[in-house]
Amino acid sequence: MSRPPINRSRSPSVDPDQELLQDAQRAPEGDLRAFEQLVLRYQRRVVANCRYITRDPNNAEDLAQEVLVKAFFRIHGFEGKSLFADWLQRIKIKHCLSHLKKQAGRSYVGIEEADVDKFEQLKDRATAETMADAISDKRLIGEVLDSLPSILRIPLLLCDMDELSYEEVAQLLGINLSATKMRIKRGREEFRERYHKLQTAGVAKDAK
Amino acid sequence: MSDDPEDSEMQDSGKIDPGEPIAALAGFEHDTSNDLVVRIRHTIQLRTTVG
Repeated sequence: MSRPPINRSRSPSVDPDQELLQDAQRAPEGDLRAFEQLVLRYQRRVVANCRYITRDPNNAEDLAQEVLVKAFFRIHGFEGKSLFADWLQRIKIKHCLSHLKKQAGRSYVGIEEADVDKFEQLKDRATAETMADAISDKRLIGEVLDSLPSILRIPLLLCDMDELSYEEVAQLLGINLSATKMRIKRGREEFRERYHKLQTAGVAKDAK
Repeated sequence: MSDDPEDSEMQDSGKIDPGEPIAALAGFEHDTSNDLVVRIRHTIQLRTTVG
């Protein structure tokens, strides 16, 4: 029924970042060149999280920058009990959720947008000329994510993009396990339905 | 979406099947501007100098 928590199955002993990490930790102030290699390796994933958790394209890179700078200054405290990628992921998720809380001034899990209206607008756009811009899967996925309400999008991203277990998502969001599973279930259903509709709209338009 | 999210979220967690993950989201990345790493370097250098 539930998939295994992928992060937990990865062993720190085979951390692919170990060499760069050690170089970054070795120098008294941290080896910036080694750290920059780690940045280049992870920046696209960090920006993706920041972009789609906060749904804020204008601040995604600024948030990613804050996350990665924070990671640099904490790197000496990293003890290797987990993979570097997982450690960085924790910093990233907590930073994004904290940003959302500050921005909204209320709980991010309680935010309900007018997602139906937004999706209708999206469908209209999809069937119009902008569908040509959304031909790539990546772009389509981004459009669908943007159309999902936070209450479904955030648990879905933490589970399927960050590959956290249901228990970890529940803990991070401060909600119980059944609510977490239900939101992820609904998020997946909504995602698939909306993706399919947009894809179909694009195919229909191409056929004309 | 469900009409009654509060009730549906009260179910026993063991009985809820969240379904299969959205495979396309695993490893999903977003393009970055070319100068992100430069901005990070400058910020770190500035804070290190000030500190």
